[in-house]
Amino acid sequence: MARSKARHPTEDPVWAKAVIIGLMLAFLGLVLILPLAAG
Amino acid sequence: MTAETISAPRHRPIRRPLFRRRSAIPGFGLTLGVTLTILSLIVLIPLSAVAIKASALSPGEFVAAAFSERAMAAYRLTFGAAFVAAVINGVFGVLTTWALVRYEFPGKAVVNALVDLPFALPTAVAGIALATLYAPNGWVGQYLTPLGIKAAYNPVGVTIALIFIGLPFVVRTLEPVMRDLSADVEEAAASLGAGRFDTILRVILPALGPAWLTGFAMAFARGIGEYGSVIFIAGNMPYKSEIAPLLIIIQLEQFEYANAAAIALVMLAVSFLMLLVINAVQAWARRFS
Repeated sequence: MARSKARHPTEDPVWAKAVIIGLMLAFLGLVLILPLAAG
Repeated sequence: MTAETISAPRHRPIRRPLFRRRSAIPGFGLTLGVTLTILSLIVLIPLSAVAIKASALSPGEFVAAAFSERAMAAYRLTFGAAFVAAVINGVFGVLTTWALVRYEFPGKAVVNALVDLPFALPTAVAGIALATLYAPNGWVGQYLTPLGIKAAYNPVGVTIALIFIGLPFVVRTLEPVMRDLSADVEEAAASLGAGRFDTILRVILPALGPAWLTGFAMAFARGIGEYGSVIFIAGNMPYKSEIAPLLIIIQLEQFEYANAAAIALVMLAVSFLMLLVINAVQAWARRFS
């Protein structure tokens, strides 16, 4: 019998994870990672 | 037998104890003494020295030095940029902490370590790096300039430097609180029919409120006092992109010590008032969380 792939109610949807991680990386990239690389 | 000998014995007056009750925790007096001594030596006496130095000025001279047009422009830039940077850090700090605490993704350990770097990096290095990046001929600046966006040598540059400096204060304050949030509360909300968005908005974010305010206050306070990184990217033009700490340095270089102390005193008073208000809001928010 196939296992249910239903998301746990306290788990964020995949698209939300992608958006949050994307925003975080864009922000950190502009204010933290790129300046450190430039330095 | 005389009258004195047969009279009732006089009661001795009741002596009240000096301390009503001894604390169960020993060493209160010693601890308080050490705390007050250190606090006085490190904080109170140096700060009172600023006030004493400024008192050499007459009221008219004080107003002329501390509330000149140039000083007012510097205060507006310093407090305004620190506030905007703290708000931006407040928003993206929550996102960053959420991703670091809740998700697993490649490079998470590196991102986690990078967040702490502004704590350790010399601020001058940060300033040079940011100026290299956001100057009109810099890596990012060369693409922003054709769009009419100038991100260095103006107040925007100051704000970017303060965002860089303040981010870890928000993230590291929120992180332990977010990590300790019990999953039971979220499961209870879900079992009662709340959607994920409702759970975050009504259950998780209110619980993070006091910690968020603490992080915001710390980032804001750090931004007000920041000097090293800002001067490289600000441009330091009087009335436009000159921060108050730089104005104090300029006054000191001109041997105008009392004028410098007057500006420092105004910054001290405004910073203290703002932190007092933030702490009051924080105490109020804690009552509801």
